[in-house]
Amino acid sequence: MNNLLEVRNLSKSFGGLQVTRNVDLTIAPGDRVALIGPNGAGKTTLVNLISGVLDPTGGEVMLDGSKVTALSQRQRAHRGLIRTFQITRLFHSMTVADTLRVAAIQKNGMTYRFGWGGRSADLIEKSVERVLTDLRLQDRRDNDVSLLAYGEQRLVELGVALIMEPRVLMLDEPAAGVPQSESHIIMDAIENLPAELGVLFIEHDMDLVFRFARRIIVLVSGGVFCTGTPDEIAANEDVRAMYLGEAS
Amino acid sequence: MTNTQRTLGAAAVIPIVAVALVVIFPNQQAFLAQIAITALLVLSLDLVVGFAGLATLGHAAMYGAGAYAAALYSLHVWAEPLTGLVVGILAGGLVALVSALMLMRAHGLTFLMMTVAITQIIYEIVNKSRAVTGGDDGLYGIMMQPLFGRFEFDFYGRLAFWYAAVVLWLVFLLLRHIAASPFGLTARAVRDDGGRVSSLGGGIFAHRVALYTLSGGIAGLAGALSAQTVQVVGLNTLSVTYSAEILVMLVMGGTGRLWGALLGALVFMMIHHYAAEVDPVRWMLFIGAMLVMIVLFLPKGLFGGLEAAVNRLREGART
Repeated sequence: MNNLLEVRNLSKSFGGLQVTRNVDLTIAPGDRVALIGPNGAGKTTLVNLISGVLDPTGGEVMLDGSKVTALSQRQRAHRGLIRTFQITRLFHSMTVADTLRVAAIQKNGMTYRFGWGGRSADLIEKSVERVLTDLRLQDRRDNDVSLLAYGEQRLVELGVALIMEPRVLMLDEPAAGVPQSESHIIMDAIENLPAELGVLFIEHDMDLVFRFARRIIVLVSGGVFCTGTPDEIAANEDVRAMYLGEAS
Repeated sequence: MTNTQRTLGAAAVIPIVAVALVVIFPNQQAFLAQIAITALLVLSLDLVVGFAGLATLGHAAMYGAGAYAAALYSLHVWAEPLTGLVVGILAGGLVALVSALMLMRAHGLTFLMMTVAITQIIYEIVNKSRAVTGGDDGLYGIMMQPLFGRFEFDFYGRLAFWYAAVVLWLVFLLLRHIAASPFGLTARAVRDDGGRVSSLGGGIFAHRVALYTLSGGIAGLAGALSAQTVQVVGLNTLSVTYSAEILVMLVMGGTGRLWGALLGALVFMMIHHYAAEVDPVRWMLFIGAMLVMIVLFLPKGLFGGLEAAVNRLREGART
């Protein structure tokens, strides 16, 4: 199967400090790849490099076989490379439905439209309703996002990404900060992601990692320490000693 | 209340207030015209401050550009009022577009200082171009043709008031429509978190340039209205001081809601008018004290305070 995303020899230095070291990874349609590693391993930096927030010092990012290394974050988003953030970034003055509409407007290139008429507007409303239904947020559609419980905010963050109909979705700690009582909402949402979507997710919650990942990449000091299936990673003594600890 | 009811209600407010003001102040329609023009200018500023979240001290540059362009057009080309308004819109929009291409790459304090610098540059250019602009004497003797070839501008400002009020009303309705459109929603999103919009494929720079240009066009329209109704254009229309004054009006009224711009302009102009009669030297003390109170106790401005009071009353009536 052709890879949707391919990262080749990706590196990043800030002055004399190298934070990403020659990383290679691939994401195929339907992949569920977890990126784990201790704090400071460079996981979020790697996502920032892939999504175009940061420019790499060396290496390439390929999307659907084309180089996108020189493209901006915005251009990569238009090609279907979408991410979420470790700390929820929603539009605090808006309702849930308006937040989703903003994403749909960008997706459909309607930013400079001064009215809601036409077929595109219908498409937007349909996609907003679809995501609200999929994430079971219909009751929250007119609530201000800033007043939602944190677990629901994380869900809206995921909804914003899904409404973009991504080909590759990068989730940066989707369950971070979510109370145990609400984490099942996030787990259900991740479980029900479209089958053909390629997913790369950073997560510290090992239950979530071992439940959803079909492949795990362990990152240490900015470089790939090892890669394998969940069983292989769980059985790796070095990883257990270094990172998984009691969690394994 | 349905959206249609809300829109009709909003559309009725400006005509009702206009009639009420004429009934209450029958002999001050020239002053009322100034209030309407100032409200239009503050509305345009709300697009930049309230919707884009950019604090500026340079909005008078677009207002002055519109005023000078409309004045020159009527003095040298054609004194027809409506085409003069179009010239004002184009002049304000052009100044906004050119400056936005520089300004929108800056943020925070740098942005604020650049708005001051650009306004000062335009002020000096106009001041030194005495042959065209009249320098510090300004432009005067602007005589407009009758509106629609039929309605003469009168000495008492009766036509001027209704002319300005109708333009204000139409622009207000247009901006309400735009605020609820995909463009307006994106503007609010860019204000809340531009980086997030970028991560969704949105172009922040181009969007801010478009919004600033739209705002500049409306400021230019206000300037053209002023030139046509006051019949004099001076350097004060381009000053940083005037920019600060309209920013005070907006903060007093409340940002990001359009209504706040209208209320802020009305209250400020009324206080200016009557407090200056009582004490022509220290009337700004009233404004200063009021601004401090508003910032401390009504962070969403007078309109926000009014809205909160109405909501409390409604809840009280329900229980």
